[in-house]
Amino acid sequence: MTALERVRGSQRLLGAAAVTQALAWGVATTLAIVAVMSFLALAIPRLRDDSTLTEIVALVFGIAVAGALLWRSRHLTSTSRVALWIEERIPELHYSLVTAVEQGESPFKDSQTGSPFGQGLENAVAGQDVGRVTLTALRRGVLAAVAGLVVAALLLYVSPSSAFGRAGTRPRFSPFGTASGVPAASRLEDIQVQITPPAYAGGRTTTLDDPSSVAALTGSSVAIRGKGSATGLTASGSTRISEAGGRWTISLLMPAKPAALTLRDRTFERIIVLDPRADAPPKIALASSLRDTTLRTPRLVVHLNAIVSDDIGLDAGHFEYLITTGSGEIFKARTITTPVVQFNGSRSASMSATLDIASLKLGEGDLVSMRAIAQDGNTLSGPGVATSDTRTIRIARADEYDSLAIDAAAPQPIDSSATSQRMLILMTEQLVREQPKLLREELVKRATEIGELEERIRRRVHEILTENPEEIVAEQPGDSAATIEQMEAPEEITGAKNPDLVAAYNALWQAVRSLRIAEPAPALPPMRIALAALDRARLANRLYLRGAPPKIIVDLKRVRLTGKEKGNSNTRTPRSFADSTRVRLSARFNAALDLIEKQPARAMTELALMRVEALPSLPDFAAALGQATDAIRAGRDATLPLLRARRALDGPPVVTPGLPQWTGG
Amino acid sequence: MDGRLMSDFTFCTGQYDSGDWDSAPTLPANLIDSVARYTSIAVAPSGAIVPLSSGVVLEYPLVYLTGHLPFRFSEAERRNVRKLVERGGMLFIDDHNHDIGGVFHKTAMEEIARTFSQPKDLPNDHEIYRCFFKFGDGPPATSHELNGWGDNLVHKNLQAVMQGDRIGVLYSSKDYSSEWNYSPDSKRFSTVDNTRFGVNIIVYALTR
Repeated sequence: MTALERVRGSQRLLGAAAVTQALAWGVATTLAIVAVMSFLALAIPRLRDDSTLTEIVALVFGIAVAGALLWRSRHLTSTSRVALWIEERIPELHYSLVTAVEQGESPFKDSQTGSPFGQGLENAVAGQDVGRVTLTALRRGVLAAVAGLVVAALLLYVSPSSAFGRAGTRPRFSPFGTASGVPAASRLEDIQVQITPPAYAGGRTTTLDDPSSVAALTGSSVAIRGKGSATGLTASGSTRISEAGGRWTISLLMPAKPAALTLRDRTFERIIVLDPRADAPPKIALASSLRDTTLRTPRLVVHLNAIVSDDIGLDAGHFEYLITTGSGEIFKARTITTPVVQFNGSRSASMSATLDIASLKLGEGDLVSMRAIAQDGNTLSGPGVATSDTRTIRIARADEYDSLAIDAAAPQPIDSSATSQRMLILMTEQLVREQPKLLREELVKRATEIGELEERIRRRVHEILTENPEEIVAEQPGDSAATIEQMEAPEEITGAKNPDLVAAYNALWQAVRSLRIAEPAPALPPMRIALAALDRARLANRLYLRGAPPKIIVDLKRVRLTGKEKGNSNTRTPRSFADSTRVRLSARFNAALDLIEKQPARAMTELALMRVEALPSLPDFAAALGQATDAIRAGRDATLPLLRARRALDGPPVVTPGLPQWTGG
Repeated sequence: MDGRLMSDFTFCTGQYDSGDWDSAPTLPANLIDSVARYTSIAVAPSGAIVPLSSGVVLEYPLVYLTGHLPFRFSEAERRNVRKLVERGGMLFIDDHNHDIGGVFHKTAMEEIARTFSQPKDLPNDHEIYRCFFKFGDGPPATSHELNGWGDNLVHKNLQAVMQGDRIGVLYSSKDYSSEWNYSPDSKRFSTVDNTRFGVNIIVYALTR
């Protein structure tokens, strides 16, 4: 073997060793990171959900370490560097290998004589065991790399990671001992749930096999049992887990609101949805009497009958009479109840009573309000109480024997901005007195002005008579007055209920006509007639029918922003949007569907939690989600229940008749 | 365009089967006048009377209820007012009897508790006392309270059922129904307009 061949042999050995070490350290780094992260996941549960991220990070670090080591060994590709490396370890070679590599051949010859030039050097190289020295030098590095790989693998093996295709071995080394009752598989499978309804409900105990949700009456006792010891098992909240006969047991009471019970066994997790069924309050309806009534005299025997039902069982019921006496602002009330009727837990019943109105010693205007009340036998969160609609019997007053209840109404609001009729009469009288001294133009001007003011009153009366609110708003001071031709003729006022206002309107119409042709003296008699009629209307008793209060129109344009006091609208607190459960759940549902393939366990958890949230408000969606999770757990196709869930969430598809309108793209 | 346009605020008086819901017939006009007088809120010139048993009541952001007689919701009325409050509307219930021992107060409190939850005292520094006019001492006293009518008490607080962070049901034993039940034109005789708190109630219901 020549010197050059020895160098190349060592170069191959060094290269192989460098690659081996790089791979070993890279793999060891990856395994160590996975192991450390699985230990950290015990303290930080979020890391458990991001296992894919952990694996990617570990792989990147492993590749980086291997790459760095390979980069450090890049000089091994140079034969002269390898020769120098050997010379460094065998000084006795006296650069024979370097010389051979520089010459490019071995054994090398004299270039002029062609005789072997370095035979002595070749012999010196042959005298050294270059291969052994190379192997000796490499052994430590390779052994260290292999040792590192073994340690990392051992660390991963004892870690909680499932990298070896099973649960980690941490429990074996845990202070709880050997945990002989801990099987390698999850203890959260094949569970049994026993439900015992509350005592007042009187129901039977039922058992469910491996359910994903438990539906039971609020307050029911729920016992969840599974195989294996309770060691290392945890449950959400402060739920305690006991152990008996080689089986673990969780006992709890069904809460009032839906909840998710999260069970954990090492890296295994299972969510059980607690779906409480509330004890509904009883339903009660008065079968007789069916309607309210008014009596002229307080003599009547009322037969009351009520029908009651409940989903669990009724306890008791009675009738209540509320007698209100008084009028105006002073009223007094007293309550009478009938003897309590016991229903002894039956689900439906009826009760009846007879009320002799005469025995109540009622007076005029008194009111009797009757209703039925029942309660169920819920001793846990109840009792649930139900009351029926109220029936009233009223004793009429002597002054309302016309069969209609009428009360005095407040006077109609009067437009105080209009100059009063009395003032206009005074102005007209003054104009009549000054008329002889005035020029024609001045007379016409002043008469027209009074006429316009009179016209406003006439229009106001017209509006009240015809109840036309639009004209009230339309007319404002400064608006041009109607011409004589535009004035409504008196005969147009038909069907008016107030004769005084009609008389006033007719008189005002005549007065306005006279004033507009500058004849103030003839205008005065109808103006006085109008004033008298308006006064009669103002002082008249006003009555309105009960239940039909007067419709008062506010002249907004006149009132608008005339208030003397100042208010300050301070910074408005923005009203938060109504929390739409449907919209929020829709977004979460989409995200969960995206997770089903990548992270099925996390998707299942998310679907179960969504179901808990949807139970109170979206029962159809919750039911479909339950079917979907059951199907996924059983390995069946969950497409249909997921579609049902989507339909329940988004509602039926919107059907658009025909093609949509072309919008130009 | 599909959808409904925003309309002017219409003051709504709720009509319930039991009792005398129409005992303050001029109060709506008075408050409408005040809203127009002090604010720039677009307001309808007359109020509306809507049966609580009708779904139409859900179109009004503020529903006013009053009376002297027993106050009881029928099932339809209870369903609608509950829906109204859940959707962001507000009920303003005023005891026209101004008597906490009176039949209206007792039955109304019972109905409110049954339909929503037990009303609680509204703090006197609540936003409703400063959302437009400032009332540093809480709800303004009424002349009926000061004159010793009814229960002869000056009620320090209003009661409310909160819907989230805003008032869903505002209950008053102060008899604003008597205090504000007069023709708007008569305001010119008052040194201080006593309907200003009514403006606050409306501004609160519309903007919070």
